[in-house]
Amino acid sequence: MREVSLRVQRGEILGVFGLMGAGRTELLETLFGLHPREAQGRVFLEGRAVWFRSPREAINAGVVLAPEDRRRDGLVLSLGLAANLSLACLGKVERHGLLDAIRERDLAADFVKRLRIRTPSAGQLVRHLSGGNQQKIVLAKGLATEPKVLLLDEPTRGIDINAKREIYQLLDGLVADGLGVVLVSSELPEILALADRILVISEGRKTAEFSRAEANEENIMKAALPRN
Amino acid sequence: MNPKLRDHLTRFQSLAALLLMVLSLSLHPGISDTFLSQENTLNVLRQISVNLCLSIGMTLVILSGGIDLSVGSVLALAGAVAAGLLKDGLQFPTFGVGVQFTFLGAAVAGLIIGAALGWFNGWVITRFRLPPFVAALGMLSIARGLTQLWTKGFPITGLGAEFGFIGTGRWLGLPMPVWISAALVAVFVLITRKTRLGRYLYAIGGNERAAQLSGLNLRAIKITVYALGGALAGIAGLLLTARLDSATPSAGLGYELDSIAAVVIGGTSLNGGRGSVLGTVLGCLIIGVLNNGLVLLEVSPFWQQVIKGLVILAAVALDRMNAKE
Repeated sequence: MREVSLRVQRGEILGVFGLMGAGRTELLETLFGLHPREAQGRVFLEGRAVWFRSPREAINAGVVLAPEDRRRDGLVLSLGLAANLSLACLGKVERHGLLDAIRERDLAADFVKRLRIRTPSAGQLVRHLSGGNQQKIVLAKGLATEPKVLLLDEPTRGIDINAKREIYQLLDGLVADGLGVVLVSSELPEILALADRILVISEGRKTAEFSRAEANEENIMKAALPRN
Repeated sequence: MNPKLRDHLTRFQSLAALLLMVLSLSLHPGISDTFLSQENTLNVLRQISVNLCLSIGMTLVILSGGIDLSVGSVLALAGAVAAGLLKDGLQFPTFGVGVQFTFLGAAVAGLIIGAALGWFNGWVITRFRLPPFVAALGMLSIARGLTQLWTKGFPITGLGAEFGFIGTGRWLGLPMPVWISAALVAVFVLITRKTRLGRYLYAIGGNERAAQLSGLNLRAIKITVYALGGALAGIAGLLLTARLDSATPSAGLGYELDSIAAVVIGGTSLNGGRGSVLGTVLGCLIIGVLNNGLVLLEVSPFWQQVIKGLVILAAVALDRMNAKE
């Protein structure tokens, strides 16, 4: 990651496109506080300068990452749906300092309904759910922290067309409610369909930025290809 | 197989194994009277309470995806420090000053020693990213050496009735160590099932990376776990020392093996993330009854070690086979 400046506003999806190795994931991870020492730069959240030294700080400030590899980075496969969903906001399901099973189940039921997660029960082990439903749980886990900015890394990789459509609809609703989204995707049609603005990175640098009107596959690909 | 069902099954397997052992020893004509006597039963319970304290801590550490091989040495040092402070206090010859310790003060000092060593384990593991068993092997040697230094190689005995009470006393007919370990079980069942820390253990042991991305402070949690494990080893050291009225430099040798065995037999996965404190209670009972049965059957101590080793291997092999499914 060398030089990237970006700006995302409330109620807006900023698409980030780049080829493999362009630094897409690194960009999101840096914004999320995962590489506090390796990276430099300035991040502003609602006009205030912030620099997260850990995911905890990012989450507390209202920035959350839904990682690409859900089985490796997103979920604890040995835990149930409800326990995964509440993991980033356990304070919410506590009562008198102890975890409250009813609150936890209610939180899970709420998101199961909102995101149309198909599961036999809130206690179901996530390893037994389909990829699409697992992806929805990763999203729900992030959303449960009530973020202002959602960093999305390849949110529809390897999931079926129905789940894909449902995730698109969900994003529309969230953005309408004022969430800011940074969407990293290697699927051009997805970026073109969802993003209000599109940032192209190549070899760790920002090479172009397009409004929705300007963007097309050709000029995006051109900016994404390495220079030499 | 559904893993939740599998967890229940593992527990059921352990329970069945325990019942089978108790039943066969009860029916054995040569020893059934001795085995079933109240004295023997209380004895078994008292003996396992030391291992139970260690194993509760070991369960927490293993749930979080780590391992602690130093608990036997930590137990020895905590017991020896408490015994030494109780008997001779702390002397500063240069200043001609000595500090005497009450029974409670000495016990707290032992507990703090245990927690501090555990904390150090956790610090080394997180700060230098060492594999837990390497760090614990270092501590195994360090704590044993410190115990030898502190005791100058001799047992510290004659610790008084007050201190002895926590090891040999009874309350409502049950030995004090049983009460103490039962209370610890209750506390840690609550912690693992109903608190944030407990959930964090399962999450870190299940998937460390996902736990980190969920905003968990891995370092703080791991250090806390090892410190708790050390403190529990300290309590085990106090119980053992009080029961024997003696802190020996070689106390607790090999105890880490019994403890890991109890945890694994109790259904906690060595990979971390799966298991329970109650399962470990069952594991301790199985190890305890096994030890007791082998003694009553007058099996040679050498064979006892061989048999125990085989049981541990079988339990770990079962765990691996379960994990593959």
